[in-house]
Amino acid sequence: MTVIANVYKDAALTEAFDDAVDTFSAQAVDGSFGTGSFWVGTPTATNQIQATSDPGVDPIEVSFDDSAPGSGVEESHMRLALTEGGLAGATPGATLGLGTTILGGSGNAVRVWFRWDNSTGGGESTEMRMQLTARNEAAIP
Amino acid sequence: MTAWTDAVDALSPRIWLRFDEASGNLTDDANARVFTVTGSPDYGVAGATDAGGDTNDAMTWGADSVDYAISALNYALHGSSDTVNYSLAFFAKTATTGTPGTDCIWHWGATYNQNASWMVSVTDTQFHARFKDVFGGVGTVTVTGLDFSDWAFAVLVISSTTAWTLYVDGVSVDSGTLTGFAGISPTTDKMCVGRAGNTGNFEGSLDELIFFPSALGADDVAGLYAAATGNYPPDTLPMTLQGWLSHPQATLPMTLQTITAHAQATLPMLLQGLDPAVTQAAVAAWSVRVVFDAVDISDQVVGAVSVEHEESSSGLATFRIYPPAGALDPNDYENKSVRIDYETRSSAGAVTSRSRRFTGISSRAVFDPDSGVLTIDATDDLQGVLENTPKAAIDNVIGGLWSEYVFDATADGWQYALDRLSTIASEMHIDNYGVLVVVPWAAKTTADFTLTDAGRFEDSMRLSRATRRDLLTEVTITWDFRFTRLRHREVRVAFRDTVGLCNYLNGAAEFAAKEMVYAAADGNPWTRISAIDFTDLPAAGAYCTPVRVWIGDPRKLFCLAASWTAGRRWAQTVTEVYTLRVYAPDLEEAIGPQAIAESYGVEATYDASEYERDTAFSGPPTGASLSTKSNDYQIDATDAERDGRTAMEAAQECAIAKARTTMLERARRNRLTLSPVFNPAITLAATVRINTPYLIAKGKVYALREVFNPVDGSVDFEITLALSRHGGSGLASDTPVAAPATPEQTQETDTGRSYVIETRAGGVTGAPADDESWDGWITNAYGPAQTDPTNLYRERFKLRMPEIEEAARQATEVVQDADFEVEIPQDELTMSN
Repeated sequence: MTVIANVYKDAALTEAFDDAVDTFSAQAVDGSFGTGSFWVGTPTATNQIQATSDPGVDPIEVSFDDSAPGSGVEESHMRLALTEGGLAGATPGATLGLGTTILGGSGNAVRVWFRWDNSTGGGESTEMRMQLTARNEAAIP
Repeated sequence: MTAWTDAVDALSPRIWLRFDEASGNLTDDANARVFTVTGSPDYGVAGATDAGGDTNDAMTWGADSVDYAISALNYALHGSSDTVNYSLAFFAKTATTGTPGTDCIWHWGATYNQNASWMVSVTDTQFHARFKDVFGGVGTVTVTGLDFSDWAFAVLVISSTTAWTLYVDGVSVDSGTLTGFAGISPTTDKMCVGRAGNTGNFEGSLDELIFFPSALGADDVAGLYAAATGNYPPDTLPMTLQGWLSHPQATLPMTLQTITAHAQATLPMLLQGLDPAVTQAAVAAWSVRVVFDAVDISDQVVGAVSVEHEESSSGLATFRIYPPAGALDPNDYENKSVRIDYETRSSAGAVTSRSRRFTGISSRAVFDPDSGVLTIDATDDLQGVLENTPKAAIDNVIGGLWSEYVFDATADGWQYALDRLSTIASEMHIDNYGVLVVVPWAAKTTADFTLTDAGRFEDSMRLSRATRRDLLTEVTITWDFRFTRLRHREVRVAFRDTVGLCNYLNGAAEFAAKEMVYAAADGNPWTRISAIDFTDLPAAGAYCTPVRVWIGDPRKLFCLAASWTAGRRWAQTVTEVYTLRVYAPDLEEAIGPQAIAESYGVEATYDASEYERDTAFSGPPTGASLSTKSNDYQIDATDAERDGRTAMEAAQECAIAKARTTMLERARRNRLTLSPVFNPAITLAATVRINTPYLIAKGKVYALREVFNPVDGSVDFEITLALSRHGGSGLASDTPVAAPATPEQTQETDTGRSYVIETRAGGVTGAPADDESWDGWITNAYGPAQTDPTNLYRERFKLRMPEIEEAARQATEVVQDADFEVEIPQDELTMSN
């Protein structure tokens, strides 16, 4: 069981994402699309999350990672947005910035929406993954 | 040769008078010019230096105004074309305290004031030089604070046409610019020593006067002085003095923060592609995969697996398993994760697609000891999820509006979510993957799926229409907002002079004492907020006709009139009564009025007792403004965060949105249910259009029911659509949800903001009897003017300020009405027989 820090399946930030048992899923008929979402945050209200590379300056980002580029599902079939309504206008395959600082508390968590435009027909694919920036969690100064 | 003469010669002097003659004329040692001596100067006096071999001789020029020496011929000062740079050096000693410019040591030019001339003079404490160019421009040098009472070596250096520097005893003492002077002239003229042309004799001793046709440098001057005297000018030694501030040892607090670093995370994704050609095939090979507590127990499943989803309700699933032999505790099968997938398979049995149908937890397990089958009910626990979700998170997920004046502030998360949801035209559910989503009610313009008769509905279609009783055409919201209005009234009080000075002097009344006025002005419930402007009595003198002699009021104890401003504060309760009508004209057009009424209230808490008690004020309260409706200063105590106007208006918008949503929800209670061929892509978020020869409809999916029965290979699939209908002409349009304007304050009757008191005098025939209800200056006539001594008044200065009128003090009410139109969507629904 490997819990991914700061990634939650629910708005209350009580169901941490565990990559041993969880996947972010979407289903879509060929030619249509499916969507899903998750939350990035920390339930500790006195904490904040920032990018490790340059805390408070660099953005925390989510991006796609295709383990089998050139076949099956491609990054160009995927979209990310901060709202469900924003998915339609999102650039396929583009990285999504969540801001430079995410404050603690469930009310401040950032909901990330993803969308899969199915052009590969039937079947189940696990080749696509999402990457979340390395990040620091610390008390709000 | 000596060091001195070497030093002078090295600088190429043009004139060098050494004053070492024993008698007669002077000879220029530089160019053998002869200076004819006039008068009787003293020769051979002790000089400033004998370093040059002149046996320490110098000359003293007398005070008889005739001692001077003048050159025999005219000379140009410069032997070259350089008329810019030149220097004059000499030793001088004088006790003269005369005027600078007249005690002349050196002069060049025919007369003192001639153009193209210059002269140099010294007194005991000053050096002075005056230059005149050929154009008449004059430049002067005056340096004070010097000491020529004993031998001093002066060098004046002119450079760059007009820049000058004066050295005394080898040291620069001053410098500057000859303003207005164009430069020395090459004209030839006479040179004179001890006198300026024909006036300004020098009285004192001179030695070693030298003219250099060049600008000497500081080192040159210092060298000359050293050569002449053996003394070197003092060196200037620069110093840098640094001041330091001393601070004691400091303690610097530190905050050491623990940071938890998380590496870049990889989040796996499961993308399930659905191929209708397979999932909806007439003869489809399929199976149901049940993962229970993270273990695939599909091989234990017996019988049908059912899954149900419905708007704003928990999703449910039921399946039965044949558990392994051995002891069994149903509790072990409860509160465990449950995932149900629908799988299609190839003819070889391989999984070709997979579709998640349910994600939740087991809620109940019932064991049938007869059959050995365990029936497990599962739920996605929408209610439980929200009960445990912080309200801040619910705000983010649900959106909508909420106010404690519309909803129950003590409600749990589930109710809080429902409350917020009741203000937006959306539903919420947990999707097949276990994620809470909020989906608008409105059907999409283009349906996600279109189902036709070819989808084999098999007479399953049922249409239930909302009854008139279900529908709502109007919600009337009565809203009270009660608050405190802080009022402040200012009145100008005037004690008017109605007697007149002459009548006073004739005894018609006594003068009013200022002390009595003060006592009256400050001795009533009003607060005097200005100084009292008195009209003083006139100065002593003769006044009136016939003349009356007035002795005056030098201590200014009495007055003829007075005025001041008085203020009064009080609090008034104001209730704004709003009638907000939220109505759907299209619906009302079709079914007539179906109205309900709601009422809400907000009271802005404010304790005004302190405001009303306070009498130590000198003007309107901070923030108050003068109202045109009341002619008083006023400010409404409505800025409290929790129950002030902002909170009240937000609550109004919440109530309006809730009423609108209620009407929309009731209008979509038309339900169309049918059982098409199973399509796993249809979810609660989908818009489905039914297109058959006898019924066409489009709406958002309201409920889904799926029953997978591997025993007979059937999939029972039932969907229910919600259809919003109004039945009217469709002309209505939504009025934006916004709090109505604040009602206008009622115009009050103006009671005036001035109060006048006058003088009443008793003791006069015909005067009314004294009345204690009077106010003003109550006094009596005196002397001959007192014609009725039996009717004297009790003398007093009384002020009875007006009371605040009831209309301004009592609680008041203002009303405001506003209408909000609601546009009911008209989803597609046509039927034919």
